[in-house]
Amino acid sequence: MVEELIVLYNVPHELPLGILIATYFYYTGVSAGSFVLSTLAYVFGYEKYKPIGKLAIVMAVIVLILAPLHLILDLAQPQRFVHILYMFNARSMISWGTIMLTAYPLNCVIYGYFMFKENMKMTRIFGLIGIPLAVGVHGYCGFILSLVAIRSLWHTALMPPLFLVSAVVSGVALMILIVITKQRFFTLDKKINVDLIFSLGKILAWTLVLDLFLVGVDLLELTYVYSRTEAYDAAMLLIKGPLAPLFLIGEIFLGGIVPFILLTHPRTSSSIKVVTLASVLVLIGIYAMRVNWVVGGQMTPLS
Amino acid sequence: MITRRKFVKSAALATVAAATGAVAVLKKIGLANAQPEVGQYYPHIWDRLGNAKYIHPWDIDARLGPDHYKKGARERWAMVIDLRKCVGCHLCELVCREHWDVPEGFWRSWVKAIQKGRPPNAKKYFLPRLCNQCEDPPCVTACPTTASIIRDDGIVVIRYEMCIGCRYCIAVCPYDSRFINPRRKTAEKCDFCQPRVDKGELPVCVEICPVNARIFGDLNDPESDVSKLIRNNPVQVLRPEMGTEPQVYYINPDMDIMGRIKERRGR
Repeated sequence: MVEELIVLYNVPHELPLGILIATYFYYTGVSAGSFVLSTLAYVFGYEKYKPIGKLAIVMAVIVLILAPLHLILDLAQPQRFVHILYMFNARSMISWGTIMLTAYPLNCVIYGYFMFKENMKMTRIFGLIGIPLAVGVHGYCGFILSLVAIRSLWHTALMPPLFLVSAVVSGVALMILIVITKQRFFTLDKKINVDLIFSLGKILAWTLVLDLFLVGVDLLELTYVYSRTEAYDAAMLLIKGPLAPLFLIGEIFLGGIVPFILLTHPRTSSSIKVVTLASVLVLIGIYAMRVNWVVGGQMTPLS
Repeated sequence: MITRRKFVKSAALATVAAATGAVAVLKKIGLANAQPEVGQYYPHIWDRLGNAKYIHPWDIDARLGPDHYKKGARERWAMVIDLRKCVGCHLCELVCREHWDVPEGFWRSWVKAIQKGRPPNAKKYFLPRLCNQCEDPPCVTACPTTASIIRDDGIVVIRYEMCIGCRYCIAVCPYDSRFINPRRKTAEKCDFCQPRVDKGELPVCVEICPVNARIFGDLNDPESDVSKLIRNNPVQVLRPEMGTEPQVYYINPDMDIMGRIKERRGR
């Protein structure tokens, strides 16, 4: 079709989900990631990670108390959020998410209680219960996006795994920062457990690679052929459009490639300062990723 | 001296007291009131359902079977928009805005318009848009509180008192039909003027249309105008690939205007 075509009249539509939802996804991700880290020692028995178990579970609970506040504030009718607790729609992903969002923090609190009581058997049981809940509480965030069939950027089965991997990435990054802060400022000997930090850094580096891989697969699929499709335009929004700086520089370069090199290059990887810097960059990058995916998915108009 | 037991006890008491107080204060200022602010901008929930029953989202699949409407003996409201007649006067858009008091910047119904070719060899095409009243509506599936619901005569309505304004229905709607009404602070969309339909009247856009391009009626009645038009003309719906089975049918629509419009500059 080479004929000229211009729009004489059309109406604009708002972007329904915004920064608050992106922030909410970010917080649940951090929480789920921290929880998984805490189970490394207390469920799977990696003694090396024992020092972070309690910190991680406290973080997971605090962040998960903050997270739903963003959801509630994002509602047009915040005072009606109680409706969601007793009106159940079994076909709605948000309804299931509500159950997850209620059960997961409760389980975290019980798990943490037994952990602080040094009751290893019960800790293990509730840790095992918590893993599917943690996967659920963040996996459903991915499903919320991937089940929207009309938004090309969201409607992919890669979305839940991508969200889960980025959750672990952000959880590990935050945990590194918190462990360093705690051991540097809040312990008697002010000595940082270097071994622990570096092994966390290794986890961070390789989950980061998985994260970048999933993003790459997704974009390759969206852009490979059919340049007239909405999927292509949605992906191009990230690569060339208004979100390009946030995506290419914020998410991929500063939040992905740079921290990976910092964490794996032999000349830089043996410094606590560099690991700290990499973790901060990763946290910023994952936040950029949440914003890119939540906001960017809605930016191609439907009509 | 404060023991731990004492501390926990008093902390628990303080929490309960604070919660009670907070609920009391919220009730006083009307925030914790689960009951709707009836009649301010919209009729009550049962008025909106009229004499129709609603179908729970869980039962939608069962309802899509061939026998449902026979059993229910209900109408199935649908609209045919005959684009051979539409002149693009935007009257439907204006009357809808007036009738439903739609705030500025939002549309329950609107008319898209494009121009193909370069003048003098140009032609205009129009596409009146409204909620498609899908048989299997994504918004009803997505709604966490079942505020969006489909009536047994096929009209998708929003029970405003139950809507919490999570905006997920706006994100999933393939037709961009929904918006958050900034005054009512709930989702809103075209509902075939459902209070008028219940009274036996036509939707305002159908009534106002000067060229009778919009035809409204009952699909279960084989002799109704919509049934005849759909039977005797090649019709098209918007985004059939979504599987939503829209019940707004277009006769003679233009390919370029039906979805997202991509502007083209000619050579």
